[in-house]
Amino acid sequence: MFGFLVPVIIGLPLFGFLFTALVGRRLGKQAYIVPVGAVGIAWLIGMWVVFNALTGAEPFGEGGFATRLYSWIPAGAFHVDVGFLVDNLTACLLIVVLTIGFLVHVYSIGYMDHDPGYWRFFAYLNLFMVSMLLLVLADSFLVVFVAWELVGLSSYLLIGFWKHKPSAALAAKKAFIVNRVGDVGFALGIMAIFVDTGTLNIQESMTRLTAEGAALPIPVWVVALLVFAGAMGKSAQFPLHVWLPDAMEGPTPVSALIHAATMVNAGVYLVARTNPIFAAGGDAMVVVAAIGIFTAILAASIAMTQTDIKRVLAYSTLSQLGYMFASLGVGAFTAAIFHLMTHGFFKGLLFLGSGSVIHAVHEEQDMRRMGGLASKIPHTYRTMLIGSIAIAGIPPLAGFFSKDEILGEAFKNGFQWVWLIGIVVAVMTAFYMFRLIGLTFWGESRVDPAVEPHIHESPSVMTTPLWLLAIPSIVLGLVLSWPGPPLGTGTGLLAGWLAPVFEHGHELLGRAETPFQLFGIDGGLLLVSIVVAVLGMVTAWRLFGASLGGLRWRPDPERVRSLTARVPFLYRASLNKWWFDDLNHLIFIVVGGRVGAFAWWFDRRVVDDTVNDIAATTVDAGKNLRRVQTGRVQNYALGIALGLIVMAGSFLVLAAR
Amino acid sequence: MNGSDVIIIAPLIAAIATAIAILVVDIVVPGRTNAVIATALIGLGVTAVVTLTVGSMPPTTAYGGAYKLDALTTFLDLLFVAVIAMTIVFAPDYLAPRRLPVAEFATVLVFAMSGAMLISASVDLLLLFLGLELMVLPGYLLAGYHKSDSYSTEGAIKYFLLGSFSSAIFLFGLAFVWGLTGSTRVADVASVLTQVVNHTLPFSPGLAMGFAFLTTGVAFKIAAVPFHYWTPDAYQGSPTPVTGYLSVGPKVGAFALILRLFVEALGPMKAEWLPVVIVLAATTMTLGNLVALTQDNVKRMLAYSSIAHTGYMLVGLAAYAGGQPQGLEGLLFYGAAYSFMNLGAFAVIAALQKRAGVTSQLATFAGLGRKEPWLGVLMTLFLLSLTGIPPTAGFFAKAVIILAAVQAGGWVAFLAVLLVVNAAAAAFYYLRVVVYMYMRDPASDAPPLRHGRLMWGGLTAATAATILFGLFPGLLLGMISAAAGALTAAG
Repeated sequence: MFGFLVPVIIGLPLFGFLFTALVGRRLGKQAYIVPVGAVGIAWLIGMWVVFNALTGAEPFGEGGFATRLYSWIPAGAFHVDVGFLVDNLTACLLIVVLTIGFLVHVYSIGYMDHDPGYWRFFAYLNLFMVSMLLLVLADSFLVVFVAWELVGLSSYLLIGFWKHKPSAALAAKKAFIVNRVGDVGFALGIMAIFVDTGTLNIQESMTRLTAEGAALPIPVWVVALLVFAGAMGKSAQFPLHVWLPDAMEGPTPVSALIHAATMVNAGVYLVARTNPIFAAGGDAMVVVAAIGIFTAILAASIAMTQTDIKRVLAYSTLSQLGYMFASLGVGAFTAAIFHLMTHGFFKGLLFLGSGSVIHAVHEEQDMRRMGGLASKIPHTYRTMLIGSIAIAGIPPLAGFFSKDEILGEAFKNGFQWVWLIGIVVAVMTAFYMFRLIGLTFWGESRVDPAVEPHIHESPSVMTTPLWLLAIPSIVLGLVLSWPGPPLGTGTGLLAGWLAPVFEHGHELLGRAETPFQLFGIDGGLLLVSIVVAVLGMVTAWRLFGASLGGLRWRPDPERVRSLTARVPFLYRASLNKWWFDDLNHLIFIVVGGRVGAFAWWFDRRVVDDTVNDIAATTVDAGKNLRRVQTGRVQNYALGIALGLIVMAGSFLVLAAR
Repeated sequence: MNGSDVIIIAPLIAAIATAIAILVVDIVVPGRTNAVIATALIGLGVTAVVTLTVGSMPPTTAYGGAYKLDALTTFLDLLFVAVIAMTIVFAPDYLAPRRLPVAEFATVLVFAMSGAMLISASVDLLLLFLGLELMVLPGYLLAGYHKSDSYSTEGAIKYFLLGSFSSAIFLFGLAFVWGLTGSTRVADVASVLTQVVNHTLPFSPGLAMGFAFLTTGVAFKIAAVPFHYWTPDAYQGSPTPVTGYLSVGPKVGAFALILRLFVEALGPMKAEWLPVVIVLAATTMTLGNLVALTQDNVKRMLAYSSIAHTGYMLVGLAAYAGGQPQGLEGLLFYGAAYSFMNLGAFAVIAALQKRAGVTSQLATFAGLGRKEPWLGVLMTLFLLSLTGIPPTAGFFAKAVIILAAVQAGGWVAFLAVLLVVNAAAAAFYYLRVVVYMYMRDPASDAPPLRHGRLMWGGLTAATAATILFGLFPGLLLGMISAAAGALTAAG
């Protein structure tokens, strides 16, 4: 039965995409019914599959359920099957992708209501769902790569959805091109895997790559780094992080779905999926950890001063993704997936909430022109507050559990420097999130007086998804770690699910399980986590105000000014995003432009002239040959006769040989 | 002749019965196009079912070993039925506005099909010749089908004269081979030639002459360079559905002849004829493409490009002769894929020419993507497949042939390189049509035409085959490897 159900999960949005692309235009405002319905049904089926997978029901068992759809390329040694694998890792990703995907679809019904490209938007969204589901379900690297490109394509289409806006078109291009850089690495990695193992099946190649004493033409750490290059592009890790903030030019539901909750996690998923090669790849892991934690602190430092509400969230996403890679790099694969799941929900919530805010104040994204919105849009305010507490790492909300697990594992696995930077990032996270809440919802209103009277809460089709996302943002951490630490002594729910997936990687790393010590090292780390989160939050309250229940603090812009004046360099660095965009401009536009101009000259003068000459010769040859076609039968017959004579001559020569 | 013989040739009987039934229906209810087409399609459906049923029997021979039923026979017969069915389905939209009768067209086509089916089952030189003539004679008729059109008549006469000429050459070649081997049975010829290879018998000049005449005759039928002169005139003059058929039907039929004759009968001496095939393949694909490059008439362009495709298929034959039996699989896959994608492309042209006076000039296609989006999309698909872009059938067909040719090594591997270069050059003229369809403004603002349900049905079938054989080549490969296996097991 599952051999049928699993392809159907992809088939439904595929049908929705094709249907909407073909006849959507004629449906007008009804265009959402089929695509949203398709994803809704896909969600139901998906959850049934997930439930069976996670409970280890037949035919899933421990290793997951693989189904072969068909043999795509049956050409001798190069053999590629299109097949799906649903194991517990895939199941976890399916929960995130399908749930958030469905809620974003519902939210978009309201958010995109006034857009003339209504049907086009839903068609693209469904195309994205197809690609993303294919990515997490595929069991062959080649199919993963196809899906990898497809999510890139749908992301491109959706970032540039408002194609008449030049900044959107530019951002779409930037995302596509930067991703290409990573993709080259990934493609090379796939080729290297094939050279090493002769197969592209993920499970088989992992076994062969990490087999004891296997003779590999390309060392496993090279393969690991190439795969990581692909992951860096898709998950926007330094230095390929520049596309993600610009991608916020797309409609907000897109930012929530693709650029916060699902697609950007593809890199984390890929590294987790290929964990054995990283575990066997020695220092490749350290590279992953270093790039991850560096991205985390870099992005967090930028998020502290941005004024565009969506950009704060975008840099926050970068920073959280950095956490996940740091976690993978220190060997805490489970913690990375844990954070991936909780982050998917609360960041999706925060983005959709920011969309609701932007909607309320008439497409204004600058937080300096918001303020005091809490009472006017209460549902948005409450849900976003929940999301902020979750991401800031205040117990008992979701983010606390996953983030604490990452930091704790880093410390205990001997990566104290990762832990230290991570703690600093945690302070920053709590700070910038409550700065965002303070500027947007609390204090005096700075909204344009013309817009002020029209501020209204979003329709329930938009606020319902917010509340539905708020629930997991509160309880998911608790549920997934139950009854493991820090609440009990057993194995957490998620850790139990993922144990078979990461067993091989953990073995290769040789990490022994140490019992959780609430009154020893673990309890200490836990306490530090809580203290820094509260510290960051309270600092933000002091500077940007707070009005939470009985607590009323006024914002203190004077203090902000004097503080920033004290560290002018850091402030300007953060404000200007550490000049990465300027650096890129210098490298790619100024220097690249010169190189390009030379290449153009070379191409025109040398390459083109050569090619043109060849082409001209070819066309001339063609014209001369055409003249053979005189139209006279006698000539033709003569030609055939001559051909026959040549033929007879050659056969006679061959016979005489 | 006994009862089992009749059962074995049942597909052939069904085909001829279909042709006669169409004639009868046209006499009883004259001028009823729908009745004629229904009869034809039902008859072809029955023929297909009979072919499949008979084909499920173990391989056997009939008529004292002259007629052979094996996996190859079944595969080719089914392919012929599909080609003829699609041609008949595409024709009315073109024929009706020009007041050309559909019934005779269908009858003649089905007779031609019975000839092709006879070739695919013949293992006797004389029977092969009989099948060949039965296949090409209706072709002459069809080329001149548009009697009032002087181009059509002129093309038909040229085709007929040169065709007869080459048939005579071919027959002459058969006589040589028969005279020097003492038998017309394919298996006997092969065993005598095995002795020649083992030097127990000499490779006499007479035998060499026989080979030369046979090769020339066959090369004419598949329109290999330099025996291709008849194609442009015959193709351009003929009514468009006929051109579509001529570029596919007789070609695949002639390749069936090559498989039975060169692989089965002359197979033992493949090392001797390999150099000739290599030269033929190289010149055919290169010249075909070069001339196609300069055409601004899409019908003529497709005619020349069909020459190039002949060359690609010959590469498959060369790969077989070079020691790679997969070459034959490639050839058969290519034949099937080419039939569907090329007929599809011609169907789009025929559909556009429903309006009388519309030419097949490139300009006709300007802005088609906007004016008639469906036809534009389908034409693009067929052209992409003809170019060989994944995931279409055309890509996979080329891939199989190239793979086999590379594995064969030597000069055959050089052919593989030449094939890739040629395919790249072909992209230029195929994609030029796509550019016209999507990037030029329509020449006229005439409202889009309405196309019959038959036309859409046929286009759907061609599209489905083009996509499915590209995505799931396994659907076809099983049948094809059985067919190729039957050939190599015998030879």
